[in-house]
Amino acid sequence: MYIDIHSHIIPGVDDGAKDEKMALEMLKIAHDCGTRHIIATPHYFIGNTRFDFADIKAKCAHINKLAVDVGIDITVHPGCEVFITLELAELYEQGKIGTLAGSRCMLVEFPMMSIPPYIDNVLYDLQLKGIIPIIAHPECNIEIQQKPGLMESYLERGILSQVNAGSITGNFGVKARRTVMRFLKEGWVHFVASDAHSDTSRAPDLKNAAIIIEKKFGAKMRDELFKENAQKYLAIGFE
Amino acid sequence: MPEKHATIITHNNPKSPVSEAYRVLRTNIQFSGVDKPLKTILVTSSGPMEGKTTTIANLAVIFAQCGNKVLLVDTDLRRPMLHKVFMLLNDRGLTNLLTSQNNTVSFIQHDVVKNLDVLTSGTIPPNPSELLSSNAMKNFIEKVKNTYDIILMDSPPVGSVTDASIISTYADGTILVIKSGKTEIETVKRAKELLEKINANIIGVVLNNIDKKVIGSNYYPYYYYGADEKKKKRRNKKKEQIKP
Repeated sequence: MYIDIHSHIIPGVDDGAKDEKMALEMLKIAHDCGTRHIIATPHYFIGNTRFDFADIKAKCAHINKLAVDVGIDITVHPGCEVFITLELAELYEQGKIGTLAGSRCMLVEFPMMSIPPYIDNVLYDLQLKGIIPIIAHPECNIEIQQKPGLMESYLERGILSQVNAGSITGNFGVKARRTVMRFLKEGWVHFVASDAHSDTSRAPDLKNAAIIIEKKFGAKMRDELFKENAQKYLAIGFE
Repeated sequence: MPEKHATIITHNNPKSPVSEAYRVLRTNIQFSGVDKPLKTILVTSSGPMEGKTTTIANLAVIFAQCGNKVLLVDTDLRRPMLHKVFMLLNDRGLTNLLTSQNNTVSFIQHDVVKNLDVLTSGTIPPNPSELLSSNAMKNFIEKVKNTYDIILMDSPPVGSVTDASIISTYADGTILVIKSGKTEIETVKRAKELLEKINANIIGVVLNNIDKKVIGSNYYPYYYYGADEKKKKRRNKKKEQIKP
């Protein structure tokens, strides 16, 4: 059983699933590879967001109902992926952004190109509010790819990291793959998730990444990264 | 505003990596004003055609999208560009405002993009520098500071005329746009000296027009938001290579 903590499965809220049909197709793919819990994490950009965080819960409930209707045994939980800007702590207070599945963890996205100087302040502000930030796909950030050691400074401060299954299989290019492998060797990864956007090129399929991790690092590590850490930090999927 | 205008990518394609870069730029500006918020910002460059107007137009759109009430002013009274980028009429603007006794409101074009008001240059005057250093200009800036969250000012280059230096005295922060691979280092240094001479607060530079290859060729094919057909194809190809 896997828990996928990063997906764009809710239709019509971001650049993920296009409609309910695609969302169900994605759930089916997720289920087939062994995922039983999946967190819906639509993109939140300040000023450029098409949804209200308060509605995400209801949208998940709706998709869960659709899944039950067609007999897919999988649960969708509410969450969001927030792009890092100075206002995050404030937005959290206002209920405009939220954590993953009602836990203390928040999925935070860095810019792809760089690590701007304000990042540390924002993460610290979030931590002061009791939030545990999870960095979404750090292996895709160009500056981290050049200096993977940067990751350590985040982990020392209690910040967690989520890498993409697609980075492990090489879908995001050689550099992302090289970086993620270094992270895995060093033990700098807490979660592997799909970051699925569709039912084709970026599907919620964790199978190949799980096989690679099991082969290289063993079944224990696979279980931690695909399930146990999510259970531990997010308190979901214990049954 | 017309739906598609190539220059304003933040408006037309808010999820592209370029828009992301502007979003980071906005946050960097906010961050550099943590102690004392930067309310008036001048965007200039050492020479012409370095991308000032493109930069400021996109920056203004990003600020507006984030809910800030933004006024974008074209203080380039010699070769104004802003109205072209936003496809606005320029029959009345800043110069007309400064030379008339009228209420300011009628010269500003409201909600060009939601939350973004634009004041174009207006009729090109014979004496730009005098107009910009006039009391009318000072009073105008003070007045709009109360009604807007942020005021962005496009200007002529620093190197050629004194206009930008004059405007920088009204600005809490000045940004220098530098065109990568084109602007001479010495020219930039000179621009910096000129601005420092009048105590302008240079908050940073925008390095424009970077060669994709320099920052990593892998980035664009695999970039994050959305996926068109071409990108999908490339991804699939990669997948085939790597799969055991």
